Amino acid sequence: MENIIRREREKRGWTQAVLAVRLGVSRQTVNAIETGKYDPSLPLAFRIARQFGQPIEELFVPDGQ
Amino acid sequence: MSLGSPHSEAMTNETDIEEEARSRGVQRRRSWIRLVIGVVAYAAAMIAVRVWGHLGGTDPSRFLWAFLPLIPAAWLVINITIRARQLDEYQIKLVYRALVVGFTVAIFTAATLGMLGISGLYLPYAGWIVVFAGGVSWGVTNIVTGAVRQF
Repeated sequence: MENIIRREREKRGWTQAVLAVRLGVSRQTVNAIETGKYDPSLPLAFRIARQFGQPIEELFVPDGQ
Repeated sequence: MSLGSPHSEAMTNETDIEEEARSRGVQRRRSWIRLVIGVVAYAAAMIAVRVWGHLGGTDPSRFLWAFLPLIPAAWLVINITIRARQLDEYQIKLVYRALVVGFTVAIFTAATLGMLGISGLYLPYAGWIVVFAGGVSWGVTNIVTGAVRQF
């Protein structure tokens, strides 16, 4: 799964640590999501979408689409 | 289904965020300190058993001595459980992999030693071989997957 989390985060001037606290996860988890090493659960994906005020399908795109 | 974490609802300013990040760092450090205390206490208990327990003797108190390391072991289990409850979903995934490998290696090591025992090959301290195999494979997997950094 590809995503635009890093771009959206940087657009807001947030560090990974800031986003991590906002999401209630560790900084390592934010890094793993941004680098595509980990696909978040649906509840976490909803929390991310809420933080950025965008629907999930605009933030996450399945590989090859 | 909850759409936001309890933290994110309240995170309205940088001070809150810094405070939350700091408290997580404190949690992590406390967890490490408790873990080190537990490991040192466990090692001390093992040495005490070895020196004063006389497990190979005939005194009935040797059975009590054999249980002594269970006290620091219980401390370790409680603290690991506390830390595990603080982990998020990605951290749990990393830790889970190492547990799977460590458990599987320990089970198959025990089964192999059991088969060797049936075939007549006596291995003294076979239980320690299981502990070593399971512990080393668990630790190495933690290092390889990066899970060790989550603690």
